[in-house]
Amino acid sequence: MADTPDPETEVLFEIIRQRYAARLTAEQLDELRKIIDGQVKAARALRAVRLTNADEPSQRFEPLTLPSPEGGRGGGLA
Amino acid sequence: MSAEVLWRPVRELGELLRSRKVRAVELAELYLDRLERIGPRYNAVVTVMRDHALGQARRADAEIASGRWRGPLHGIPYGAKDLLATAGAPTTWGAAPYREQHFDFDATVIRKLEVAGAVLCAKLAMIELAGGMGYRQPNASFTGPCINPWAPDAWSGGSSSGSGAAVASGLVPFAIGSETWGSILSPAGYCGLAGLRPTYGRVSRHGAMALCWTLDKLGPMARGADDCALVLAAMAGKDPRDESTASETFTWSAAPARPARARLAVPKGCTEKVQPPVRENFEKALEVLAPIATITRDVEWPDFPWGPAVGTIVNAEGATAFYELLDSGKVTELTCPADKSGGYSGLLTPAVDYLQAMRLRRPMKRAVAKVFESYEAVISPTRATVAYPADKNFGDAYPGISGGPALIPAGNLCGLPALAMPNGYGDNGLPTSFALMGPAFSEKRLAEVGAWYQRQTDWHLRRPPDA
Repeated sequence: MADTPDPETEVLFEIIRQRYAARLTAEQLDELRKIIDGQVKAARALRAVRLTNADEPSQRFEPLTLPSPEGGRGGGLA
Repeated sequence: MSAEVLWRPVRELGELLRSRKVRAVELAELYLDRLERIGPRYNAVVTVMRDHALGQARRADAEIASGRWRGPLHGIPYGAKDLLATAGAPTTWGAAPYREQHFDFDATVIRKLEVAGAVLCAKLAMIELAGGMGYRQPNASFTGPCINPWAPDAWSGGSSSGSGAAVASGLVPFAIGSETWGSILSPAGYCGLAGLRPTYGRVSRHGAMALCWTLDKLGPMARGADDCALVLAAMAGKDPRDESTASETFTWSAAPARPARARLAVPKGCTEKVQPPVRENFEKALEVLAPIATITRDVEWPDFPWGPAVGTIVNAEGATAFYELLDSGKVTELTCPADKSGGYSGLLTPAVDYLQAMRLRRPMKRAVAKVFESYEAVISPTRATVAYPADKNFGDAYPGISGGPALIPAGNLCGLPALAMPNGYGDNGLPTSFALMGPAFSEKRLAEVGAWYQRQTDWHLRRPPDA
């Protein structure tokens, strides 16, 4: 019995089909559907881990700083 | 000068140069000849930089003769993975659409190695775009599948394929590779080399092809751990052009005769499903290390979706880094069939999923930090198998074999250093390897333990049959 297509996979795959089907073969599209299905499953595994509101992404954003007239960091926009 | 000199460790070559028993030009000529003559056998080389190398070598000879010795890399030839910008040669990223790409500056790593006096001889082959489009077979570079010097029907590993093959076949004494998700450890393991993946931020990425800004790392590959540490000392350091670089310094003079006793953890399940020779050689390596290490087995490795997390980040950052290539359709010029279309899927990674993976990196780091409260390093087979056949899809190569806990994804997600070292041979006469992974900025300790192991063994001194 064939697996039932995952609706989430199908929705995402449809975006690829709409954007790029003209340049992809049927075989490549089939392969992409499998890759997207893997991504959907991976995303579910990520979402299954409980995090709290305080868990920030492990990346740092640094605000714009300008050199102060005395040298070093400081100021910001006047 | 005997060709035997080609196989000497970097440290010994440096001493021969310093004492003027060997001239840098002579040494460069020897390696350049091999790069031109033998390099094509392995599909290991993209560009031989003969004129550039001889110019640097002549300068090294003149400086050493005048008493200005820059250090242990002065006059030492090397090769760089072809994702590092060099003003004097094309930088192809291993990919046909970029064959004619030129930069008018040198990557920070290239510049730092020049300051150390090293002699850049060649740009080395790599998997196209460092594997960011999802390659599934060795033939994934416009230079062809990189052949393993230990067996002509086997692959050298990826994505630092040429760096692995070139060092293993004596085309250069050391090479620079890069790792996002296993690309230094894997070719080092498959080619019987020492490969040192540094802590994220230890080495500047300025001028290196970006695949994943939060995962990419540059590191050395050589025959010995001592050589890797010597090279890392020249590469490492804060760089204003790469804001991810850390201010921690890395210095290396020599490994101690006997390092302090190390507390090593063997993660539970890391040898259960590996190839039998991989397991046997790993057990022998543990026996060798026993005099300087307290080894604890069956240590629980934190349970997280390591693979899905690293995959999601690579998909999202890689598709963003190469958005123009994908959207323009030029991605179809890539070599590997999977790479011609696989990258499109990355364009669909929802921001929430990417950020979820990035959020998970914090609890992942906390959990791994707990392991390092009790142990200095984790030790495991580098790879579950010997090198893949050069003509098969990866999925068809060794069915049923797996490596247990996802240590390579975990180490990369947490930005941790790791050192791969050869420990014997397995199927098809191919090298096997084990890896030490420690907390951030523990490269020195890993290299001390690795160098001691290599003083008790000779795997790193052996040569491929036809090289």
